[in-house]
Amino acid sequence: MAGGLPKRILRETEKLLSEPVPGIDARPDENNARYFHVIVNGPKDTPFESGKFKMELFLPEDYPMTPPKLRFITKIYHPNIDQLGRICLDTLKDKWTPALTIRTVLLTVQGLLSAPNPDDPLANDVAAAWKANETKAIATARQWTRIYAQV
Amino acid sequence: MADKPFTRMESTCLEDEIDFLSAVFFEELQISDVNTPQNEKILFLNLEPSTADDKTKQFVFVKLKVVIPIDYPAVSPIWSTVNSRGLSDEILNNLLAEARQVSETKIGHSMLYEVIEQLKVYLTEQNKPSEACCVCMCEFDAENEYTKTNCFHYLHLACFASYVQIELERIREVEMEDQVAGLKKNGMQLECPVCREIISADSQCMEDIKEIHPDSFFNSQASVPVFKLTKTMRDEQAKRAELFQKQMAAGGIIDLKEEAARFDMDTAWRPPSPEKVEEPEIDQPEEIAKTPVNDAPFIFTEIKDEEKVQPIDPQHEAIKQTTANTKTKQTSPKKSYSRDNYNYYASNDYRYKPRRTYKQERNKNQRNYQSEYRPSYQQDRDSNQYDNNYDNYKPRHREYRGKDRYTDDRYKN
Repeated sequence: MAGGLPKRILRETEKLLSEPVPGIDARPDENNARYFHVIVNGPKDTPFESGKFKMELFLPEDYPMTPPKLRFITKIYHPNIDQLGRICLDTLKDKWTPALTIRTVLLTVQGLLSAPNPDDPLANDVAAAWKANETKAIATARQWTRIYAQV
Repeated sequence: MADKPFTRMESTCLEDEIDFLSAVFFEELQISDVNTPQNEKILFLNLEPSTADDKTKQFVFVKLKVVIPIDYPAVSPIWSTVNSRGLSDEILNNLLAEARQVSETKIGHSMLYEVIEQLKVYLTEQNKPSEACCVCMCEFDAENEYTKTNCFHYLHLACFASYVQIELERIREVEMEDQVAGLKKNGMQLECPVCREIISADSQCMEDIKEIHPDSFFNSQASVPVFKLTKTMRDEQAKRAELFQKQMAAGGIIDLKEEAARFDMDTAWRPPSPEKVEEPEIDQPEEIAKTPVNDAPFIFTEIKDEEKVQPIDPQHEAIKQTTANTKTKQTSPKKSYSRDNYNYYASNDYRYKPRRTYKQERNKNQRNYQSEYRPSYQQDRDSNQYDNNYDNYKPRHREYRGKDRYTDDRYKN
């Protein structure tokens, strides 16, 4: 590896490992300290409850000036997450500031699972279904969680 | 009270004491007009360290709230902080503890001014930012120079310089895209990384970083990675691999290659052939197809219809993917996301590369802008299979890029 790893990334990694966020497990890859394997537990009282969602997180070379790249690997039925697992979150795009960290970003994702926002959709079909019939959409989300996101 | 003889100050009422304070502190002192049920008097005081009025040397600030009960000075006032900058919780607690302690010892006397003076001394001792720099998460020390924004946030010069450069670059890019799209938006402005307060170009912190090379954060931060793989981490990784296999077996893993193929995502975008649009294949896992859910009928069929009307635009996807994956030159999204290397970022070709310089980055953007946007736009116009009428094309902006092709009647069947 030609370059090094900013101290900030080391500090964040240490903190993530020593004081993990409840319900979130993020660990760096064996070969690449900029790549994190993340598992987010579905928050309680949501259709994603009891699900374990695998995510990948990557810190680009300009991090912390540019936001980390974050993607769901496990399928999830959510209006703000599309078929490729990409997430519609302002803090991951133009509202990013270096004061945010991996920890805060993962907490926001957990928040997004608790509070889906069909008015700002990324997956248009899911959002439309969510708006048309919320109970039905929640049942679908629960079913996806049961089928896809089990341990 | 007999053993505590009244002095001239004490015999005067609270009003006089407050008059005296406002004479000393001028506009730093605000007296609340709100009437409380207990008839307390509430003062707000902006406390700054004494630095001989040199504002650039002030790194901390605290706004105090003093609630003065009606029995004052027989009981001590209640001290609390409203707002503070550059001070950690520990120091704030110490500050309030000191205020309480001093006021306890002076019960029965007029104490406000003396306590405030004590606090000012303490604050002057603490006149260095105690929170870590938000960019590098390192503490401030004498070695690395730092600066202060107008909103009292502290950053190392190197960190701030890099932040400003990359942020200005991003703002310029967005404005350029808006210009191409013909959108007039209010100019974006540089914001404080901590509180998003706008940083004006003539502020002191911008002056401070004039001599700093914008890449100095990345150069100074580069250190040899110390990365130890412990047994617990190995176990965790084994667990993850197992979980991944289980979810994969259940069909729960997003297969980017498959999804990309389903929506005909390709860098060389062509209008989709009618068959492809007619048959948006949904790979429906068998369990779902078989499981009848009585109370909540599964809505896969609905998704099918939705996708027929408004499928994800492949070009849009391709562009987003290209920009999302990497800043540097991208081969093709299909190659980068395949089943074989699903953790693309972990693969060798995305390891750390030396940062491009500011100029290289800018030139790259300009080149991309010309080769990606303009010529294809003109080609579309020149070739006869498209409308020659410019107005039929919506500007290629993030929100609009290519979406209209699908709402266009020609591609409906």
